[in-house]
Amino acid sequence: MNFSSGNLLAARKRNGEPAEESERPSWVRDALAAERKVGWLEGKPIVPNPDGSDDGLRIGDDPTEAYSHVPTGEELLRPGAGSFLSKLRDRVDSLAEAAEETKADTETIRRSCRLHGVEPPEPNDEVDSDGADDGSEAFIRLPDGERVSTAILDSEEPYLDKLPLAIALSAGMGVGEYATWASREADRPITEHHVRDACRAANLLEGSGDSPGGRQGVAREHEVATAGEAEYDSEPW
Amino acid sequence: MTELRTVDRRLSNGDVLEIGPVKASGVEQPRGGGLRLAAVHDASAPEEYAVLTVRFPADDAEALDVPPEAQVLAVTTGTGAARPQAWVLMPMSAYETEGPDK
Repeated sequence: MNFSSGNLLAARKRNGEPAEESERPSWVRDALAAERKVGWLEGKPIVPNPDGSDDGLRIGDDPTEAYSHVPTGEELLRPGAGSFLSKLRDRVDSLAEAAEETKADTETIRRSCRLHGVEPPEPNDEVDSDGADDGSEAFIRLPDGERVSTAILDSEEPYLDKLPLAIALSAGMGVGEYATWASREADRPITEHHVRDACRAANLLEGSGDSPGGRQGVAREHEVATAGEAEYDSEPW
Repeated sequence: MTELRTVDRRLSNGDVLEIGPVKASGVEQPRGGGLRLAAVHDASAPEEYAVLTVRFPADDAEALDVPPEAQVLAVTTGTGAARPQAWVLMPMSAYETEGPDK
């Protein structure tokens, strides 16, 4: 977790636009890269494409080409699909997952395994962390890969807290890119509109409510102006 | 020495069938799908086959997408707008010498 005031000011000047790729740390590219995910066209294919066409796939890109090597449905029953089936079997936890990845049904997967002499997929005994470290505290992954407890973040929507926003934008992520990344991380839609509003509230966008006195941020009704910065209806003396 | 035996079986895509050289056969399309095969075969020389279906191409000018080792067993007509499909027997030996990925 490392960001400077200089980077934050530069981010404000960009007003939500992404920085040039050459100006961004490599973790931004990694954060925006599509992940391998079970399910037809859900992300990168679980079994890598041997021609490497899934290497540079980003979140939101059309993954169709990346799946060109995946036999689907009854194609799995044919000779030639055994090598793929064997690799798939090692990467999924069940017949159902194998079926999801190949647009097939579980019976076709079962028959394909039998024809190709491949052991059917079995459940993985490892327990997913699912964002919780020890079951008593929830964590989210920040854009730079670090994990942080949600206890210190905005309780309503941790991905709209100023901390992950500041990290992302100061590193050169755009508002739209952040929305795409956060939606994938949260597994629920987080719109660019919401991200932009949250960035304004955190004074991460240009014109986010600067005042002549230098007070930054959008004032909320309950906020109290500090001495030297308040404006009064009439002179107090 | 020839040993004639019979097969009377409902087949589905992906089934494995052990059968010898077929002397005579009949097929029908049962309700609920699949293919019913009734055959007399020489059981003294059985081989294992995978039963596969191959949908007819949209254009008769296109070649049927059938692996070279496959033998066409039967053709069933489709229902409604579905195209007919060919039922083929693929020697299981073709699965033992898998080619590269698709």
